[in-house]
Amino acid sequence: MTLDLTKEWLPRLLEGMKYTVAITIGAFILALLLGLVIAVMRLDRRRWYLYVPATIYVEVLRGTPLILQLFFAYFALPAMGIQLSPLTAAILGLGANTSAYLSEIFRGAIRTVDQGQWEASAALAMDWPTMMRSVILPQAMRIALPPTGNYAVSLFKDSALASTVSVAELLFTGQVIGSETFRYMEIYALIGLLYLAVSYPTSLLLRRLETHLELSRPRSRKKPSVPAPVEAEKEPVS
Amino acid sequence: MTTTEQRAKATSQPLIRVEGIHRTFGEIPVLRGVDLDVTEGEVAVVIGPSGSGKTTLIRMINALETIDSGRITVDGTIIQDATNGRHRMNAKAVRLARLELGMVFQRFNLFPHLTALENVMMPPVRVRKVPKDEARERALRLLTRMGLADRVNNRPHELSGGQQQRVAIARALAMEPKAMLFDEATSALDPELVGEVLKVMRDLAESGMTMIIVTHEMRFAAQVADRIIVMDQGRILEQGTPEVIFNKPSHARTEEFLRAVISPAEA
Ligand SMILES: Nc1ncnc2c1ncn2[C@@H]1O[C@H](COP(=O)(O)OP(=O)(O)O)[C@@H](O)[C@H]1O
Ligand SMILES: [Mg+2]
Repeated sequence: MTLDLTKEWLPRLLEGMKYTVAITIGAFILALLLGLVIAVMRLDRRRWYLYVPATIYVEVLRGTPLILQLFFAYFALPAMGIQLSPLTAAILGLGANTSAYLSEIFRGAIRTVDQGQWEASAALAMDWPTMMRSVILPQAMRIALPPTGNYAVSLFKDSALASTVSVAELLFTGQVIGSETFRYMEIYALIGLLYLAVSYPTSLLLRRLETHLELSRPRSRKKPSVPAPVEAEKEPVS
Repeated sequence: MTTTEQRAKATSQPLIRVEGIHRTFGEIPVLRGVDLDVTEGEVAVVIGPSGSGKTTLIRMINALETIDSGRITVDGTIIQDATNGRHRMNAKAVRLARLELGMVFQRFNLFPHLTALENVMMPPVRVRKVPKDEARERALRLLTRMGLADRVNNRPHELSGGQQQRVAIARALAMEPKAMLFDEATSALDPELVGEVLKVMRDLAESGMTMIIVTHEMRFAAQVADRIIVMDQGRILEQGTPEVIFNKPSHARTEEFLRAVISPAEA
């Protein structure tokens, strides 16, 4: 077992992990860009020609199964003359799906920026792109960063779905090894550990980042470092 | 100021012209026919009870608020026009007007992600395309003039309210406006910090800046104003020099208002 593991399985699985990481990074970059565009398109309902298509995009992607979206990108698009490689289809499907969720986070974060910031920028004669770039987005991104990081971790795990469109990523590679050796128990446990080895440290890092941002944010009330006394709760409130 | 300059000023068109402004929020008429001309170099102080429409009026001048009827002209350019029923607001004209008008808000509205220096530097760099070095120099000069030379690298939340408001004034001045609008610039401040902000406003007035100031600080108003404008229920009740308004106002409601604001603090 040890021999198989180190000599044979691990190199193959790490090869698969390369694809997993590639899908995650590719889809995440795509999701960030699309998510930002969609969020901005949905800021102002009065600009319906932006708002309506962006809203349809978000609702369709959030209202249908991710695996269906992947099948659509890989199996259905060729019927329309668009032939994508498995990797491209996976990046496109996962990226589009994640962008719908990220756009909601971004939109919410932009909305939390104080009205006075928009007014001050307008009074300083900023045009809309300058206002966004120099004033609103830098503040919104601080708020959006922790949840966005969590979506990156989700995306990393969801990239296993790319195995269904035959990308030789981590899970797919494991399935191949499993079908050759029938040692599914060990192989799936090992794959689980490999996913965990990436996602757990990332989550920890994100949590630390979140605490850091929370503490350095203006006007945030610092939580008391000592827990409030609990004795009071024992007393019946009269 | 020489007499020739004064004469030139008297004959020139007003820098800010407000004509026949009406505005209703929902069912409530907030402004009901306001006319106001402010000439270059003039310091006009707007006073009046809370809810009389002072904020709405001052925000209309740089198009943060729209008008239902009337017209607003800044430096000869019409920025909002609703004289014949339809409201027209030209984006280019609005931008020009905003370049000429600095605005100071009651709640400062500094950019919290930037330092004091960056707050003052960024708008000229991004909007007026001033080279960075030049903008930094100008910002440092202004912040020093505001008494904030040792605070340039602090973020807004590290500054007191009075310091924040002085950064906000420097930020507006860095755009080199022709006129400044102040909407209750000291109302959000702790009493002991009001003086430092009023001082920089007074200096600014003495330097010849055109200003429209909404304030409840009557002693300050009397000192800096060329003209006091008394607003009440969406109209200009009366206007005149501080001596006239404070000593012999023509309206009972002006007297009533002045008694109410002056007696608790200054009697
Ligand atoms: N955006 C708004 N929507 C509805 N009512 C408003 C709005 N802004 C101001 N008002 C109302 O208009 C009136 C005048 O307000 P404002 O111009 O702020 O007066 P002032 O600055 O003199 O206190 C007030 O009754 C206020 O409640
Ligand atoms: Mg007001």
